[in-house]
Amino acid sequence: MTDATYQWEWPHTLKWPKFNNMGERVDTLKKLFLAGEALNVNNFIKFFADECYYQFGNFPPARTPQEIKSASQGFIESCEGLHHRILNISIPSEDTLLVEMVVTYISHSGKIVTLPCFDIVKYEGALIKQLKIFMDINPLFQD
Amino acid sequence: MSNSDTVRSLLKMFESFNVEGFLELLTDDAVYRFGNYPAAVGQENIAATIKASHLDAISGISFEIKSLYELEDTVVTELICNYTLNKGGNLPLPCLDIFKFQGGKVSAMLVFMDASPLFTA
Repeated sequence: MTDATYQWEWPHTLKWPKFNNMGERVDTLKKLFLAGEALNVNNFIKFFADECYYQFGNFPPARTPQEIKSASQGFIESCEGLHHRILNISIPSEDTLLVEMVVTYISHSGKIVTLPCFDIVKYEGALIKQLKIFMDINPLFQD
Repeated sequence: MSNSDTVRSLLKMFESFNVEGFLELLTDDAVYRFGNYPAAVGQENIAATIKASHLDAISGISFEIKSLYELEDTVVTELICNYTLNKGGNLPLPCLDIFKFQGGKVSAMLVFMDASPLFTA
C-alpha cells in the first residue's frame, strides 16, 4: 500500500454512528478525536485557529496550535491509546458544541482507566476557536 | 421558576453550605456524580458524598458562572469554583456541571472537574 492509496474512509460512518448527519462541525470534532486517538498531535492541531484557547482540566491554557502541541506532547507520550465514547452532543448555537463523554486511556504499563469528560467546543468558520476539556485525568498517572 | 433559575438557586445553596436546601431541589431518586467518584443515588447518599468529596476540605465556596446553556430538559453551566481552604488561601478551579430536570426538580447533577488540588494544595 502506498501513501497515495492509504486514505481515511470518510465520512467515518462506522465509528460514532449515533452522531452521523449532525453537520460539518460534528464531523470536524470526530476527525479531531480520531487524530487524538491516533496520538497524532500534528494532525490534532490542524483543526485549531491560529489564535485559539485550549484548556485541559486545571492545566494552564494554550493559545496557539503550537502551544497545544507543546502542552500535549508529554501527555500523548504517556498513553498507549485512548477512545472517546461519546454519550451526547448538544448544539446550543451554530458555533458551539457541548459534548458529554467517557474517555478510556491505556497507559504503556497496560493500565486502563475510563473517566467522565465534558468538552465545550467553539468554532470560528471551519476551525476550532476554543476547546475546554473538563475532567480529572489523575487516575491515569496514579499507581 | 425556569430550570436556569433553579440552577442558580442550587448554586447559592452550595455557597451557604445549605445541604438541606440543596436536597429539596432534587428528586427523591436523584443522581449526583462529582468528578471520578462513583455516582451517589438518593438524597441521603448524595448528602454524604457532597461532604466527603469536597465540602469537608473547604471553609467557603463561591461560583462564578462563565456560561450557561439551557437545553430542553437540561442545563449545562461552566463555572469557576472559588474555594476557601480550611488551612487558608483561595483556590479557583474550572468546573462544568450538567443538571438534568424531571418535573421541575433536578434528577441528575454531574460535576466535571479536577478537584484534586483541594486535597494537595
